[in-house]
Amino acid sequence: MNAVRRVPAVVLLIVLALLPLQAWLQAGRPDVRYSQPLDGLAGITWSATVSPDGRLSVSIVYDFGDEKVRDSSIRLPSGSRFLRTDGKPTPAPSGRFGEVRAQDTLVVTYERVGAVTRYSDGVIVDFDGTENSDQALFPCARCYLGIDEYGNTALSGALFADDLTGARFAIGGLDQLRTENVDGALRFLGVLPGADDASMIAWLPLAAAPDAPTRSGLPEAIRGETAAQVWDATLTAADGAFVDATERRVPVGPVALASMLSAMWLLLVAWIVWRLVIAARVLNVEQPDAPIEWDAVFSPPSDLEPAVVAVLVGDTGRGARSAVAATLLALAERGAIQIDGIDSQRYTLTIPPGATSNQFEEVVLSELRPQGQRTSTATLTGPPLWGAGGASVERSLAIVAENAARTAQLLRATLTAWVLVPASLVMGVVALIGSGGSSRLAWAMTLVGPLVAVVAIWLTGTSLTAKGRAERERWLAYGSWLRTNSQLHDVGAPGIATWGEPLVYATVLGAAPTAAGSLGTG
Amino acid sequence: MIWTRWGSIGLATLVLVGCNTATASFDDTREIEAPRFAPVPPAPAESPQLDALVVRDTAGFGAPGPNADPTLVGEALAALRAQVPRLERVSDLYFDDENVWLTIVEPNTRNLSRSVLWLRSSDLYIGEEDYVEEADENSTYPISDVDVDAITALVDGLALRYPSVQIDLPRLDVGLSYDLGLSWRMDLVDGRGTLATIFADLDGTITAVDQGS
Repeated sequence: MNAVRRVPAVVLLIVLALLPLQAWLQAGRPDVRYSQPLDGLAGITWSATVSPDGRLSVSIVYDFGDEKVRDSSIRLPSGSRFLRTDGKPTPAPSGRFGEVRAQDTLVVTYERVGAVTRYSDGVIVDFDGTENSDQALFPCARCYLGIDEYGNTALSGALFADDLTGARFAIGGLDQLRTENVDGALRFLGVLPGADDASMIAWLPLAAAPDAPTRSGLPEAIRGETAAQVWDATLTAADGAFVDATERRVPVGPVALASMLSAMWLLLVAWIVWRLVIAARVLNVEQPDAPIEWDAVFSPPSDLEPAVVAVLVGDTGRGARSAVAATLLALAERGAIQIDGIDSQRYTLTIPPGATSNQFEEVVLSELRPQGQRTSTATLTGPPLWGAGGASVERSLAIVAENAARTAQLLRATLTAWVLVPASLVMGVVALIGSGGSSRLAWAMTLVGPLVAVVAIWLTGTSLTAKGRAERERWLAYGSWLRTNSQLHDVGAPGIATWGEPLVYATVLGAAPTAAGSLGTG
Repeated sequence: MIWTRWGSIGLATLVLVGCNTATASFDDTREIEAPRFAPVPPAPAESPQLDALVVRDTAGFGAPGPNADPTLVGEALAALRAQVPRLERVSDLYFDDENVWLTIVEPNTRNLSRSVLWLRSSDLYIGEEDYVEEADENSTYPISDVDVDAITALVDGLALRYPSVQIDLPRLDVGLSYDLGLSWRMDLVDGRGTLATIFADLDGTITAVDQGS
């Protein structure tokens, strides 16, 4: 345990931060944004009121956004009457057309008959211009108003009726559609590509127009026995051109969603910081030079394997050390292998068949035996003892020791999966629900977030438990005491016959760098 | 160097694209108020929609003929009811200053219709039965829809308001109502010809003025 790895957790937090960031951007930005705005038509506002007897009063405001005078044509849907432009009664040739000179804005109002039809299960308001754009909310705005350019514009709209409880409505021809059904109106906003036309069909409750005609007055209307049939048939005939606006409701507003995601993210940050701080604080309790309670440190504090001690202590304190060397010395100390000194530093290491008793020793000796066979006898001289495979032995031994430490509840994952994986999943799901399923980032995070969390958990690694921390402190104290013995510093591998168990742990605690160097992997 | 150049181009493009955008807020949508319906005028000839009619200079030429006489309608319908007591539905009623024409649907056999002509001289002519394969109720209307007082008020009011214009051939026919629902339709003719065609509800309220383009 040398240091707490923070980078994976930071990366995970940055990835998850994209969700609240996007939510705040969505909450803070205008409701629709569109490129290539049409010069000469800054926006259109459409509204209509449904009367109880099925008439419609329609108002369309074309905001030109400039002072240019235009000769504009007006095309009316069938059944339009009381035509007014800018508040003045206006002739309507053939009942369907008008001409007007307009500047700044043009307000077209009329009443319409025949577009509201009552059925047994509701009232249909028909502005379906799929087949004939004259029957839409308005015909191609760019085409008839005397606008020479090409571009996009915004359309705001509202349909009013006495009762809109459970009303459904579908809009065709609008991008970035936003809708709501509050305060007696179905309201919508969207981008009108090419400033063309937009269609609508609404399915209102019977109470919206209880006295409306039972037969559509529109010559090309889709007919049916029920409102449901007309609704379905209209949407089917439009072949995807309509967006069912009533299905796009989201349970929370954009600010609430951003707040929720931010709160979740901050909680996650707090939890991760807490875990990392705890892990770092444990490691920072370095005691190589701290006052020693001498009574407690004269002997090994427990019977932990040297490799496990290496995991707990890491590189804390002075002196080179080697878990591999300590494991070999432990084997020699109990006579499982033999280390015979050639001189004070050089030695002959003999491994008899079947010399090991645990997995730590097996990891080390399997590399030294010919072809790794337990039945073989090996006689080696050193230092150096290890060839190219030394580094892999060090890694393998560390993994085995770490697993043993986990089993002994000395270590745990710094970031636990049962918190991080569900948290990242929940954040994605909340963002998904809050966006009504329209956020690609939310989809991606829901799918990838838990995987990123798992990778972060794995890369962040482990930290000490309370039990592990106590063990570490005791072993550090023992290591400090061993370092006070100056002779241990220079003892080589052959010294195991003389020094026994203290040399084993001194090798892993940095108190016997010479022995660690002569038996270690380098 | 090349990266600097392309970076500058990219940045300039981003700036241009960023500038060439527009926004709209849903808050504006929440400000939209419900459109109101046209009020019922105190008299048909005072219908606000009639303000759409622009009278032209006829260089002194007056109305080319007498106005249609709506009082004939009441007399014609009374005579018809006396002849066909169970009459319910009619179609295409129109009149001038001397005659009233309409089509009646046989009360018991909706596939049979007859042409009717009523003359000011109080002669009533009912034509031969005419058979239609499929009776279309949408092309006929109840005789009760003919509000004699309303059409009289409308024609008389128009005559007062536009004394130099002939009110020609008021007609109540579904097929000639421009999808406005059953509406009275009549031409206003001045010394230069047809000035406009106007449409009115059954109560006489003028709903549309077709004055040509």
